[in-house]
Amino acid sequence: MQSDPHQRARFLIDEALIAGIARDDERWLHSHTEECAECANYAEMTSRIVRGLSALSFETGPAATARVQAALAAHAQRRYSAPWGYSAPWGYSAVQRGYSAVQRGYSAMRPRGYSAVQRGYSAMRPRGYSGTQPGDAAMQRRGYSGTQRGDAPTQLRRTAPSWRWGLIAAALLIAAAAPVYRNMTDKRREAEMERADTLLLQRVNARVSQTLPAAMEPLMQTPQTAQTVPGGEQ
Amino acid sequence: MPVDAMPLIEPAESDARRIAVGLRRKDMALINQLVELYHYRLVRYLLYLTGRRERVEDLVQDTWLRVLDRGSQFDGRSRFEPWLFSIARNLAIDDLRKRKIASLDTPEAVGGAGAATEEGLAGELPAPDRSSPFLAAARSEDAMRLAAALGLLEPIYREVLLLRFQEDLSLQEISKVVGVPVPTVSSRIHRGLALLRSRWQGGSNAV
Repeated sequence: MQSDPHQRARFLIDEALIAGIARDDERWLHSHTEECAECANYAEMTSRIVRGLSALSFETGPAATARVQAALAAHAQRRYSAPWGYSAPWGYSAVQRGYSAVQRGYSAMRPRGYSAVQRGYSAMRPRGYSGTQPGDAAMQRRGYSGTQRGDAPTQLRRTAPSWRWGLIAAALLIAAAAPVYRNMTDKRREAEMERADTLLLQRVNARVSQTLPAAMEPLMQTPQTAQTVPGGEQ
Repeated sequence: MPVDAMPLIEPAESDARRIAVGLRRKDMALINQLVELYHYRLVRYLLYLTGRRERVEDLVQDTWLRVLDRGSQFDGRSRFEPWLFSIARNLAIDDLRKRKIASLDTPEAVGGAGAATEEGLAGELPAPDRSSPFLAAARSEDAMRLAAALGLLEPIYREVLLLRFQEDLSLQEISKVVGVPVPTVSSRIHRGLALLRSRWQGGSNAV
């Protein structure tokens, strides 16, 4: 708190513009500036400066805005051209690249009947499919007319529906095949291990049961003889 | 097109969430709306921050590209403007640093010698050149005097004054943009106003 009322008044004049002041302070300031011409001048000058700051302006053309929007649209098309229209996570991009490589390889070795399958697949597509996406209706409800500039990703999304279906089918196929494949490999591994154990046991048994060579027979008989005479000769 | 005639419709604060969702989904229609709405303010902020016209358009474009790329970082809990201005500010400072490294032998971008001792990145901001956008923005004698005084002000004071009185940000929002505590923002605005007042008076005495 300032001891000098003029100092306090000037601080409050600034503070009122910067962060606002309490009602009591406002009342006090009002009564002070009514009496003190210098502080009233100070308040007048400060408010003129602040008004002047907010009034400083310059001219700018709509071309600059259009340039920025065009740059953004180009950037979005280059970077976010995922089938789902929003940012694809990096993992998805990797899968997408891998899938397209597989697709290229697959089309090279495609059997002749493939096109018939493809026609059947097209027939399976929902009949009301018009290229609109689930989010479009919501966007229109919000007032987006669809004629906005830089709507390139939406357009891009609409040009590649077969791509999306292909990707979904591949993902489903992989998801369904993974457990079956794992099960098969596990069973095969177990069978191999069982076979290996049996073989090992057979080998062990074969060695244990084989007859001793004749030169070793006395060595085997000696401990047996000693056992039959407890407390006897050593 | 004169600025006064430009429609500057402020979106309500409740729209921050809608903006956050749109940015997360890279909704180009929304981003184009934002560009139209905030382009002028962004140009003005960068112009007054850097005091130079040459790089402003590139910086504005870079700012919007970053908004597009990092839109998911805006959580919608606070207004969009502080987030936008803080991106623009960081890019402006990075740009100044790069140019400083690229041309160490030129005196540009080293301005604001007093500011260099201040904490934070504000020391990086340059003092504007004399053929400044401030004078170009002045439309009356009062405005000329104010623009001249503003051009001579150290960047750390100029920035907070403009964010408070031109962009109408709160002290908390300015604190987020500038990256200093609220009391520091408040004291900078007090000090900036005092300096501006004394230069204004000096100018009026000279006239």
